[in-house]
Amino acid sequence: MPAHTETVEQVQSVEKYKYGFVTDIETDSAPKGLNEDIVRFISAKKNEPKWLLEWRLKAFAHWLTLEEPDWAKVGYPPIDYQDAYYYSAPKTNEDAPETLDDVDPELLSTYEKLGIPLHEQEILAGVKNVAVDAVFDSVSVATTFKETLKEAGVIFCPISEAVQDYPELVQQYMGSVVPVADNYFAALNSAVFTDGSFVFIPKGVRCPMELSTYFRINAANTGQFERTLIIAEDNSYVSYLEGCTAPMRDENQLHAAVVELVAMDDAEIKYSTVQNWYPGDENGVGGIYNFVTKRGSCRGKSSKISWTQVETGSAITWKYPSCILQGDNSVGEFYSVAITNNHQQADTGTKMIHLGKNTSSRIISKGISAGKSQSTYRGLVKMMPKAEGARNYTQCDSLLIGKDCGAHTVPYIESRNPSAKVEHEATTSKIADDQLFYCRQRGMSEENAIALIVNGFCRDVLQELPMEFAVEAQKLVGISLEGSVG
Amino acid sequence: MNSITPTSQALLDRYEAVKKNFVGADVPWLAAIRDESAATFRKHGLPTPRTEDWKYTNLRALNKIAFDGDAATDVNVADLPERAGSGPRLVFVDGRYRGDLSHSGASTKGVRCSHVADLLESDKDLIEASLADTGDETPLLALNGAFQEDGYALILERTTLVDELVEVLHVNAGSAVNQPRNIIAVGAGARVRLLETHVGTDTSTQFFNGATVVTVDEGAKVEHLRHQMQPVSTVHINTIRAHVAVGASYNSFVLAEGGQMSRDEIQVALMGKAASTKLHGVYLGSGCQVLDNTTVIRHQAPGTKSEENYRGALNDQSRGVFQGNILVQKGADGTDGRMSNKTILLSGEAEINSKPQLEIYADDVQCAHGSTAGELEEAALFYLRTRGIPEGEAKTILVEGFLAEVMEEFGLGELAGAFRARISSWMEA
Repeated sequence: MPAHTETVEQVQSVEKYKYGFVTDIETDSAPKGLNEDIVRFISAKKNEPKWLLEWRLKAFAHWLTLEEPDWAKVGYPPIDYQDAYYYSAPKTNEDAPETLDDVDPELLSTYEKLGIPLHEQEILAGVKNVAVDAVFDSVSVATTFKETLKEAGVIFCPISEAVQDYPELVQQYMGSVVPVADNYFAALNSAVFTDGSFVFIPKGVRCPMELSTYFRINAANTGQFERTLIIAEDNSYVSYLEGCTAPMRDENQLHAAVVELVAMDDAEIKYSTVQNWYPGDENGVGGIYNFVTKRGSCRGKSSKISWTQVETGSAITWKYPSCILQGDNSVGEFYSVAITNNHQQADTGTKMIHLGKNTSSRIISKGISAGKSQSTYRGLVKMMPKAEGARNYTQCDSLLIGKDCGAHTVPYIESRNPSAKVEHEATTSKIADDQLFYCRQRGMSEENAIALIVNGFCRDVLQELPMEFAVEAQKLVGISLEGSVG
Repeated sequence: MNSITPTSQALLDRYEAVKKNFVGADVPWLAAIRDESAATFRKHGLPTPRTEDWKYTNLRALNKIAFDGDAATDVNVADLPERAGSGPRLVFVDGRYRGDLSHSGASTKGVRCSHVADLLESDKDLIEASLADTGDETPLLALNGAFQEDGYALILERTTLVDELVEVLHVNAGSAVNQPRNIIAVGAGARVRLLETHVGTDTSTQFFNGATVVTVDEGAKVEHLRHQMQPVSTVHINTIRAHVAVGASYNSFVLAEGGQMSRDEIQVALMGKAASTKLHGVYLGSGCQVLDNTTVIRHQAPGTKSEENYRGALNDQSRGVFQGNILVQKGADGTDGRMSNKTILLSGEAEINSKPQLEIYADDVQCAHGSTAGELEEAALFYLRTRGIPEGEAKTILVEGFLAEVMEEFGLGELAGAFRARISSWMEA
């Protein structure tokens, strides 16, 4: 068992270190701070093969040489990376609320508005002693899913499991889209990621169901450094949903996830996100920092990657889901709704890098700012010299609600091929008084009227979401803007 | 402490070496402003592509220039372009005013059409105020502030209307650096049109770094036209800062076709209610040229309006850069801002980098921008070919038509013909 031997060596080598965690290995968390030993600790804890540890160490070494980027239009106090835990085992239930009655009523009212069933509410609020299975109608549902997927030949499991079971696949693709040295937060993630999803769709398979982190069993508390890898082989199709409309509370303020997608010939990946992490209170205290690197590589001819995101949560969002359109005739899409309220800041957008012939991309971005929030669209469209006949269409619209918010658009358009066509349009405006008046005149409350108008404004994007998400997302749009008028 | 590049250091060395010989070196307040500007420049040095505003335009061409080389040659009067009208024309050679080559035109009451060095005593306050901006955010403006010796001064009293086109000709003849600082100060309700032309001899100045400070008082109107036709050996940078008061307007048009690297940067502050600006331009790139148009419009008051339209055609390995930023400050309600940038790539190696940016902090606004890049439409070309028009000619017609739209929208008046002719001859070249 070479993997086993490697691991043993691994643990032994850890022990040799001055600050080695000989005893800590037995415990469930690493001490505060970030150094090479922590990286080794995480790797050892996860029983990882040697190549992965080396990969992590390389990322860490590179991270040390990088400076935290400051170009995004977001402001936050400096993060002390040494004052955080980078590994802790799933939390015990000690502090969890006994019943739903102990849960923050504000949170519950939001669940209610979203129409989330009671059982799910309990799970989301982290109520003690609720079996996850209950949500999905006992284990049988999960097992059914697993069996259906297995029959189709689809691999869908936590990435830590994939490292053990399919090391050659993970090794081949991980870091091939977002290299370890890509950027500050990606390097950090590469060094200390704890878990995430792994999806592999073999040749010619159309994934029989929409895959969702929601249904991923055994991956609770993947923590702040999530890593997702999705590979779609020739002629395959998968739709992946991430996140959840219900607000999630999390102990960790800093989140730095990495998502990598690989689409081979004629394959299609549809990746949908609804992000609703805790945004902080109305005074801007607390809230999640969400620094995410998401990138898809359309490697094969006629492949397609489509990103859809609804971003309503987090105090700070720093996120640019991108497509590298390498295969001829490949297609990249980006549909985004970003809603910021109170003191939230969002700097989000996409990159479309056209390398192959006749590649095309479409960007539809809708930003809504209310309260004292700031929202920025930042996007790059790049036509490389070989991108004959490539095509891009970008539309980014911003809506301002209130006098104290800001909406910004920072597009970068670079074309090096004359036959490539790039079109970019952007508008910024507020909700027209006559629209509002019309709704009010029909007896709608101002809040409902705004929710309706904003939903109409976002329709192009929301309709790209899978059905069950779309319904919830519409409600979410209204809820996110609560308190922004009056 | 930033370490500045050897080129930046060379410029500073040059400054220390020659500052004693500058016009007005013995005027203490002027010398102080120069020193201050040099200090500001020292703090930042020349911008590199790591600086966001200079991401697409690299100043490394300056590294090859020896700033201490001064080959003073005189200009041949016959080589100077003809006057466009019968109005006054000020001629500057290597940044110094040349009365012998200039025409004063018919004198109008309330208008002073002069050069800065001549006004050091009479208009100290005005000059001091316009030089006081040492350009903390614009290192090249700071550099200009250190080296400035002269420049044109166009000063209009209240309600003065100048019907004739005022012309300024900058000739680069032989000095290694040419950094004029110009002043346009227009009193309330006054109106003027100005054409600035930039030319050079083949052996001319290698680095032109000009700056103009414009103040437009209540209800006044300034139309500022520029034609940049420097030789391809020149690095040309021109920075304009305009302050526009209540109901006033500053309109600018630039035709950029010269220089190995050219940057026309306009920063407009719409400071008073209902102030407006219109920034239009056409760029024609060929060879290995880099043509950069950068604009920043700050809407600082309610009801302000801006309109921006830049179009270009790029051939060979040339590269176009468009950076537009519309910034709407808090309280500038009722702002209307429009920006458009369109480029035609005529060759497989040409490149365009466009960054039309909106930064908005007020809610009652209407802002839009658009940007496109691509080649000539095949259907249009085909249409013309079916009518028996040869390909080359058809292309010329289409490119001319595409670019002429911007000129018509701006309204160039009597200059329209001449500017259009430049485009045709560029297409034929």
